[in-house]
Amino acid sequence: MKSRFWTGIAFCSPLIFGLLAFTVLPVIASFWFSLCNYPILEPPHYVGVANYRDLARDDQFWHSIRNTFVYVLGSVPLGMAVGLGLALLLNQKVPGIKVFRTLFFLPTVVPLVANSVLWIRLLNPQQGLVNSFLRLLHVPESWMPGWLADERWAMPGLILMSLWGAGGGAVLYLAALQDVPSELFEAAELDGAGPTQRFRHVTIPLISPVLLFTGIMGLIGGFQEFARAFVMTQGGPWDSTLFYCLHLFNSAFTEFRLGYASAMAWVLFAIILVATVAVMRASTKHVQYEQ
Amino acid sequence: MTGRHRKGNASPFSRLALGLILAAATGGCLPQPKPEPHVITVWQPFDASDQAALDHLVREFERTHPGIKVKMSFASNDLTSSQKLFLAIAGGVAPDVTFVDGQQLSEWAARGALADLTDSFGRSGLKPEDFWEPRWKESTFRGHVYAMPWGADPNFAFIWNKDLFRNAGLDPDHPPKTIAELDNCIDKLTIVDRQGNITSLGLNPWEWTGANCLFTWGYAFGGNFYTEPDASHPLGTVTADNPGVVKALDWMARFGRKYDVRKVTAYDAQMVGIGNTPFYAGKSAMRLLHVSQIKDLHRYAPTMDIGIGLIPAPPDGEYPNGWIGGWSLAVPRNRDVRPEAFEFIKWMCTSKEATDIEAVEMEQFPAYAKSPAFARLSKDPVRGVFYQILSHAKHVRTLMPVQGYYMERLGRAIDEVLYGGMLPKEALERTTEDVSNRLQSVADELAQHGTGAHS
Amino acid sequence: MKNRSNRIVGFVALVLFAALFTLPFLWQVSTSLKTEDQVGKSEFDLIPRAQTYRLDGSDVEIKPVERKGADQVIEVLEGPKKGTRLTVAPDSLKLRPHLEWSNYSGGFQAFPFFRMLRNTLVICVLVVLGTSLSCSLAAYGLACVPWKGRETLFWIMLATMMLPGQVTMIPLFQTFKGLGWINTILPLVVPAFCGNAFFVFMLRQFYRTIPASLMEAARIDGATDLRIWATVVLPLSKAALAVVAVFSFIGAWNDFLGPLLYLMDDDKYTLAIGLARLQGQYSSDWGRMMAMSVVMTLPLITLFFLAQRTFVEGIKLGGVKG
Repeated sequence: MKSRFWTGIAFCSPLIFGLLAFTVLPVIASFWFSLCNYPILEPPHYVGVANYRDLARDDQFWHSIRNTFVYVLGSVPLGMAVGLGLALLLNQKVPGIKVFRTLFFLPTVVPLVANSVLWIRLLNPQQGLVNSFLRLLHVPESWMPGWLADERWAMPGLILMSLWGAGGGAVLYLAALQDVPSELFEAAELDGAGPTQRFRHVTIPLISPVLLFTGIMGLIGGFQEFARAFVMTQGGPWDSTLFYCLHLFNSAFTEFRLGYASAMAWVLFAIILVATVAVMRASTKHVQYEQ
Repeated sequence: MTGRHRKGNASPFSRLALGLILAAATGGCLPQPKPEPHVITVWQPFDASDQAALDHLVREFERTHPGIKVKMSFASNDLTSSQKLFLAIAGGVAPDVTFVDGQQLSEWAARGALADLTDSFGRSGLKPEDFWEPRWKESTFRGHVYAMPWGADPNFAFIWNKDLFRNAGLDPDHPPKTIAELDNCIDKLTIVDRQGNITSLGLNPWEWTGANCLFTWGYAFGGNFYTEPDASHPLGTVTADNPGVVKALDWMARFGRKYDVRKVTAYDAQMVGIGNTPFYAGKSAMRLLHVSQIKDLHRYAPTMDIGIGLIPAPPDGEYPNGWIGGWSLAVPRNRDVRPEAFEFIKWMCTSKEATDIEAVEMEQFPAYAKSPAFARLSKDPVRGVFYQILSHAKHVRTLMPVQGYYMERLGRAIDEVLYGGMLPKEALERTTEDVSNRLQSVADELAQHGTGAHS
Repeated sequence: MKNRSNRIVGFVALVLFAALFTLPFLWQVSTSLKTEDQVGKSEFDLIPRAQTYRLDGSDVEIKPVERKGADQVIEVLEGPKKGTRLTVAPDSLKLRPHLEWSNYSGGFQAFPFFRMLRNTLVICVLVVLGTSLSCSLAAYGLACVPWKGRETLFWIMLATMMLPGQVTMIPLFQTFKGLGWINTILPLVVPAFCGNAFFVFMLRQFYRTIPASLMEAARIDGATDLRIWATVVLPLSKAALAVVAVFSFIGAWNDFLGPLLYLMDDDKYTLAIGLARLQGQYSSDWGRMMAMSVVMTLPLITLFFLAQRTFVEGIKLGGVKG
């Protein structure tokens, strides 16, 4: 057993070195900041739990938590579903499949600014393609979403936009699907399983480790979503897209309250940790590793 | 292994030995090193289209100042610029000179981000009156000088599409001068279809999003956002609930209710992005123009018949009106104010060569009021209007060490009114209270710990 | 028969979704090929067009110059009368498809493209090497070697991703400053050699699906762990490793904040910073910006196209198992 311990340590040594060299100190420091009044450019002064107390009284803090939960609950499951759907489509044997795979991946490599500018146009309530499509479906004009100009629709708009990046997840599922032995499908088919059953009982269990991975990463990334709102909406209209990390960023770098922002960061850390542990626990039964 | 080790160590020694032998052979003593030119590092925030002009500025400075070399590098042009500079200051690797946006100066000075230039300025022979007054005020904090104003953006000019005026039966050569006239124009120029969608827009009062639109209209309505420091209020006071500002927001709210704030915002956002509005497509009739967007008129709408003038204001408001933004040059804290660095700042802000390049190649207005460039700028049909605004403008955004929070909070107040239906007076009173509290805590911190700049 | 119709449905869905997902890129390409006077138009039009004027019986491309009363002054851009200026009525102008390449030539001149490309490539290659190597080693340690403490290490690693970077930025910068790494590429590259939680986790998930029997068999044959990693695990996870390489390349290629914060000279800056500088504070040249966005996207698309072979040719485990 002892020798295996050192083998494990040896393989993980670059990782451990990186954690010790570049992570431990900044993490401890940021916890210390959260207990300080720290206007970035002057040294931090210890103020105890004042920042955490202030958080409870900050309307924007609660607002941003609510927004961020809505985003995570919307974008993570939908993103995984779309990604999985794309992967299944891309796992077909049809002509030109290589080109198709590349096309589906495109939105994830287009620079954010170009993507944002496009989406501002696509989501335009009057002229955007999204609402034109809804008009084709005879959605009445009074129901037409106002998307980024409307505080009720801005967050759904950003969630919709996030689905465009599902190609990244699809690539992972595709890689995992390659490992699904075709005999298993054939065996299932011989047993009389239809496509839906084959999907549920063969495909899903076999790529479950990757599903777990994308789920957890979606969770961690979703709670820290920042860039889209920063570039496209600056948190508006009426704070409807004020994400947790956008509020954190504003507190730190436009309001000079890095101590307060650090307290926010540690609260978020706790939230994500609890969510991750919950998902990991819940998935233990369903994730199937070795075949 | 040991061999390589020794070899690695040996080489500097052998080089030194060789150097000594050579020195002894050539003159018996070490050769005098040629005087190194003083290098100053400068961080600038401008986009790529200004690079040629920046290179020109550096060349011109080095030509007129032999012995000083300038290393200018880009340090981002949005909020992240503060991230880079703050990190550099915290890490002790800040440049000798950096551009700082005027609105950030009070706050950065209060937080000790900037070195005190009072003495250098006193020795320079320059006087505060040499600069446009609002920009100069921005550069000082509690009686100390923290920056020298470089540019002066007269915000904003009022432009209108003459064809759309003609079509609506309005006189294209008599733009609205009062808010009543403006309201009349908006009503005639805004067309709403049966579904409530806008098909042609008069003006979007909150086009310059967030606090900026309220600064503009608030000052036009005769409002004010702060009072300057006095004995009992060493950091000044917050006056966002001043009657003029309330009236301005009330005017916006009436417009928002009449045409539906969501429809107006949606209509205005259909274009590609910042500075690219339905105006250039001939789909909105009036807008506020920033001085750096003059080139957009030629770029995106070369054949449009455009009039340019001053922002309308109510009779009890301010006309001509405007507030001044712009970049300043400053020295980050932790750096001594090197004489070469201050010389560069002074040259950039006040020399004929530099302000000429600034005005002609970068299409900006110098903050140095005595710049000869103004003789030409004031005669230009488009820039002359901006010159008129500049020479009358009394305001900047605010002069407060809670500028970032203040602007954020004003933006929120506008949304509370436009989207949430809150009464303008209530929203602005709450804003005043919140920002005053924040200002008080900054005052307490300054009293408790001093600042990097003052202690 | 049923199989065939299924495949047709699948193919149609594929085409529809592909159209949807290609739209951002197509729009980017289209804007990059538009003339300035067409970029600002409100209609959503994917086809770049230029204005034309009927001159001596044929339509010639023109550029609007200025306004003159109710008419427009235009400049003829092609044909025997190239360069002449005419005053014409606005409704005599038409549109026809046209590709405006000057956004590209102008974009390449707007910043030192090739120097920035070299800087970017150096960082990208080192990051890809470092990430692939360190992450697959660490993932082997976490997934294939049973040892006390590996769960703890895994959770610590995962936890480091849960704290937003904005609050650790300053101490991290000071760490690099202490090491004397500021204004070098080391802060951007060295951490890649020390594992990346995202990719370690990802590879760990893939490695855990590898049947233990395969590794046991190699061990009985006397193979060391390093040998098992190299000869059993790596070949079986080629697909996942290719994903790591492609993703980490894209990450480093598009990284804006890292190079901006740690590099201090224009000479050392990367393409992402060059691209950001095409966007002005109040006014941007959209055609040029989109042109350079396309230029930045193309290598990534090519890379993906070439690498995807590996994603799908990953060895079928079933076959190995027999």
